[in-house]
Amino acid sequence: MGDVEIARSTKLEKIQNIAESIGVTEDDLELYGKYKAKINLNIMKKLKDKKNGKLVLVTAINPTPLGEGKTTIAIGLADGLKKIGEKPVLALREPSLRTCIWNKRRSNRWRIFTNSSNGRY
Amino acid sequence: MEDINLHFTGDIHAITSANNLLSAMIDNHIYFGNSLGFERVTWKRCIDLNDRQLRKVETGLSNEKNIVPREDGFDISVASEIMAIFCLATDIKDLKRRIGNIIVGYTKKNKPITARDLKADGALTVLLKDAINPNLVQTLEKVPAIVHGGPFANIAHGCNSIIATKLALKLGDYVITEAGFGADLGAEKFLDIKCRKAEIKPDAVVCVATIKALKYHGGMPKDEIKNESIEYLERGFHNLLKHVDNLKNKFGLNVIVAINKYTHDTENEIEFLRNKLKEEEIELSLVESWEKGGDGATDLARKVVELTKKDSKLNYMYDLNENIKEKINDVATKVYGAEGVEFTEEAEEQIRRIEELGYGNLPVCIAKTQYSLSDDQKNLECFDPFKIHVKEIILKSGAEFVVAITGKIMTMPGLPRVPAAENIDLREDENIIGIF
Repeated sequence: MGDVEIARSTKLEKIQNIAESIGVTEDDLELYGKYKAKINLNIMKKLKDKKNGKLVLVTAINPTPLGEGKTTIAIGLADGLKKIGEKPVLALREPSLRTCIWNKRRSNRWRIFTNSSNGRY
Repeated sequence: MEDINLHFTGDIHAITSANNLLSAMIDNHIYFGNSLGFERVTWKRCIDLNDRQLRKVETGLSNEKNIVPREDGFDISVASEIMAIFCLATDIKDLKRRIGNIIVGYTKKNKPITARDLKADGALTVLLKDAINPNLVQTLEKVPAIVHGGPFANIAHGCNSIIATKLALKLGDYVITEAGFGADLGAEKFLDIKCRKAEIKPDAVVCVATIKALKYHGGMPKDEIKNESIEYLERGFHNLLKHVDNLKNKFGLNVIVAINKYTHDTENEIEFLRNKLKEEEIELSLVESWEKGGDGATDLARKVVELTKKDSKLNYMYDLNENIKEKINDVATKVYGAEGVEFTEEAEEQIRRIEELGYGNLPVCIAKTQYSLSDDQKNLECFDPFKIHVKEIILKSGAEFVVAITGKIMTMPGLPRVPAAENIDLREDENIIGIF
């Protein structure tokens, strides 16, 4: 099964429910279909006094043609934190349209509802 | 999934439109008499496709009165300065201020002309006002993911937007973020450019490696990479050690190494790495999330939670008040391990002019090959002393950094001989095939 098939076969949560799990109500959401939304920046005013969470940077050795899996680990770590009962949020780069028409060196079983980064920038 | 890979919420299209509106306003200004006195236009058009044919183009060839033909070019949208600005702006006001500061060309007397001079800053900001709101999606295990902004990691800083990171920090107890390429480029820029601007710092850093990539760095031929070899692993370990040493001892951060585990990694190899890292007082976690999802990363998760409880500080690699050459030298010697930096005459002259214009206090963004600590992409091991060679300096007055070019940097890639586009199609059931 390829990545897209894995993603398609997984029952996704409505994005409002995902938002609610981190305290973002529909007032602060602009929905783009069922599974994508923009969070209105006005929410920052309400959150002004809230304490920041911990920041974890995922980086890597110099890349090789074999791939290291930085994004895979970032997503795995976030999923792992949830498994042990913590409240993680990922902050990632958005892909360029060009990545899909690029050739892929290998198929990666992505466990995320997002892009793959091989051949990216 | 394919939604994110295709148009998503249209942010990159908005960035493309903003970039090209600026181009249109420049040419329109010249058409109507060029009162600002453009002698040289430095602003390029952009498109979000790999199209090498557009690297250099001539525009204005219609032979109509007042349409001045000129040489132009296209960058890929994510290489646009607008994308870098989008990711470094702290709010919409800051976005507009930075857009206004973009230098789009120069007069005969070499005086910079900005987007503000063209009165373009307001309209460009309007085009970006929805895009600047961060996007929320989810992982397959229903973890919220804020996906926002994605600049190049060579000519720009390679991280998602400051706005998204700051929002995520308010919404989650742990925010997991990444930076492009290896720690020499991505993490250095994340720390020296993004964290400095956003006034944030990581509580822990995860440095990712695979055993086969380390063996490759040690010089092992690709077709033998699945075979056990402590010898090649030991040689390649040098690369991991340099990055970990930088992060821990130079930047002053809490570091853990995550090995993205493959089935052909052997116990001996893992044990060797574990012991080597122990000597440096660095923990290691084996991650199998590729196969097992979150269950394959609970060990890393627990170790990261512990690590974030430790005190850490963030030492920048340079002070903004240093001159441009000193700043580049600091990154090259401390982070890359170079013995020094050589500047071409052209680069020296550009630095002199940028400092004269009053931009000497900006951070530096070094565009270097991602494959090596050095600026030679074939030099994987970097055992011998090397120098960094700066060929060109580019001022990004809106993004507020100075780019130092050390080699051939591609800002408009091409498609491969067999592009994935040949295999993408819409099936009769309307499902898309061919997108990974």
